[in-house]
Amino acid sequence: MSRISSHIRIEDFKVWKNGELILDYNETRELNKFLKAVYKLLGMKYMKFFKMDSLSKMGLIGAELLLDQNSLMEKYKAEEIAVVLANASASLDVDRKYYNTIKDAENYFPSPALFVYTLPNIVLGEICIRHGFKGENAFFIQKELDSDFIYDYNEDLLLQKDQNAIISGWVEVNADSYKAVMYLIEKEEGDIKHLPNNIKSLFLTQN
Amino acid sequence: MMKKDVFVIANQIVSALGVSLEENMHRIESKKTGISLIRNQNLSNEPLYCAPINWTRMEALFTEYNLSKDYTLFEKLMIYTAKLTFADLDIDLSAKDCLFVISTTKGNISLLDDNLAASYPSNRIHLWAAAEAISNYFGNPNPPLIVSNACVSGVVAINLATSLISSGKYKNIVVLGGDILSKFVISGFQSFQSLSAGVCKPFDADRDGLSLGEAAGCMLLSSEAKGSKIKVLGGSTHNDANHISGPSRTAEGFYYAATSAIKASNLNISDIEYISAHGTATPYNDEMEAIGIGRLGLQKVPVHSLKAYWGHSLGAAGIIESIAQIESMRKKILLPTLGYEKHGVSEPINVISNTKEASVQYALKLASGFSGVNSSVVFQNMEGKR
Repeated sequence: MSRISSHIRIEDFKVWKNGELILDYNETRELNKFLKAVYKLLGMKYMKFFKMDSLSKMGLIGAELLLDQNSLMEKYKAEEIAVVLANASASLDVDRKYYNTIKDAENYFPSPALFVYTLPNIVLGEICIRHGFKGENAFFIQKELDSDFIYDYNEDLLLQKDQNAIISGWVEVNADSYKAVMYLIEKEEGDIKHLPNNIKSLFLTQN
Repeated sequence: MMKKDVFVIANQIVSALGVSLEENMHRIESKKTGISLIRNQNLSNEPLYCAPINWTRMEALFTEYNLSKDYTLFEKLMIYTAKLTFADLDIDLSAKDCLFVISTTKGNISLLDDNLAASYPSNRIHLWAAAEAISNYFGNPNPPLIVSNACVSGVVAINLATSLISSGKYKNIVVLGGDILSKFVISGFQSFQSLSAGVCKPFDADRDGLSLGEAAGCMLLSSEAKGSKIKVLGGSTHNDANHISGPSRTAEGFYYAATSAIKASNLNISDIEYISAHGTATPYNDEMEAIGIGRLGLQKVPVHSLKAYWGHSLGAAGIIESIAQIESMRKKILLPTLGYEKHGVSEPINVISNTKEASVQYALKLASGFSGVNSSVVFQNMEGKR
């Protein structure tokens, strides 16, 4: 039976780790300033972070919170560590920003630095590059998280595709609305059983 | 648990090469490109080599099929391609054990234009809403699954559908992939300076970048053979952990994706007889794939890239290229690489220059894309002989 060894939630300018509130941010209502505050709280030194779009920033921070002292690369081979995420709005948040650089003929300055983020699966690559993970990758678009589907998909990776750990969950950014619920699945370690209902409860917990 | 076999029942392609599988295959076998110099301010400020669908012809076909103004151009293309696929089949699309898996990178991105968006419900820019419109058209009761993994989306969709059928969760799955040309995507690739000045030249010494295209492809997979001799055996997707917009120099993710797919198919690497590469014709991609094929020890195995026919059709690419590979296996031929004249990669890989006859049992399809992601899938022709 696989298990959830850690989980995090980023929502309403607050950050929870394993159910415990670790940041309640009140300084501004700007997502990027909030994400920068989490970056600082984590003591991260990773200049690439500042080039990323909000979706990648949030996914990267989520993975950082999940992993903390847990060095997956010491326990498993790089190609056995997967990242499987989903959201509703794909890369629409940065798609709008990029579109603004091309929509007017008089003000036409397409930016490659923005364009590269106009694919939702870029966040998977950013997490893999940061930690050296070379395992399975998938990004799904769903109106809301289908926990039965994502459970089955991840179990198949563990049982049929030689994966030993999976960073999974939901990372959504669309204009002012955002939410990340991420969890780490490992084959043996963790207090929570990896089951669809337990995934659902990570989304519902209001603490 | 006994895993079920997964059969390829029917395939269709709509692209610059034509409005049926037959038209597309005929053009490829006779090495005719769909890429031409286009002057269209709605797509690009400068003239551009790309492979557009003949929309005048399509609009007439949409009218014939009664596809109303309720659907966007992207949705109509996807629905039309799927309808073409089911035309002669007795498949209950409204059954609970039937599912749609949709592969696209940008879907209805044209709805970022407020004037265009005004004609549709406001949620329609979302990929899930476009996918629902498509699966609802066919009366399918299940929420469609949507894969959006850059240039590997099509192969990931085939692999997802295969695992959902082999585990017994669904009997029939419609794998439907597509993307249409837009100023959004074209301007982005132009800003990256990754487009060719002419028709792209995969694996050639003078290759200078990729050509873009647009297409839709539909593959019907089933646990029932219904007379089909083609199976999907297994697939995999791995990340390079190297760069979000360039491939690994040592083909890391490529190697893991290919070896995992072959292992999942219960085969040895040496069983692979035919390779369909991603072959975008950018200097880095083709060199990486050649290195990867070298790492696998498959330098002698015939390999092609089909990008100089269709251009790079993003969310459709993995599906239409798999379809062409499968159909060529059925016809016992190997498809040629248009644009390849002078060998231009460091490994002596065996690039197919002209259509040739060959009976093949096991074939490998590869794809790589932004995010450093690499996918592969293995097909079997049960009638193929070594």
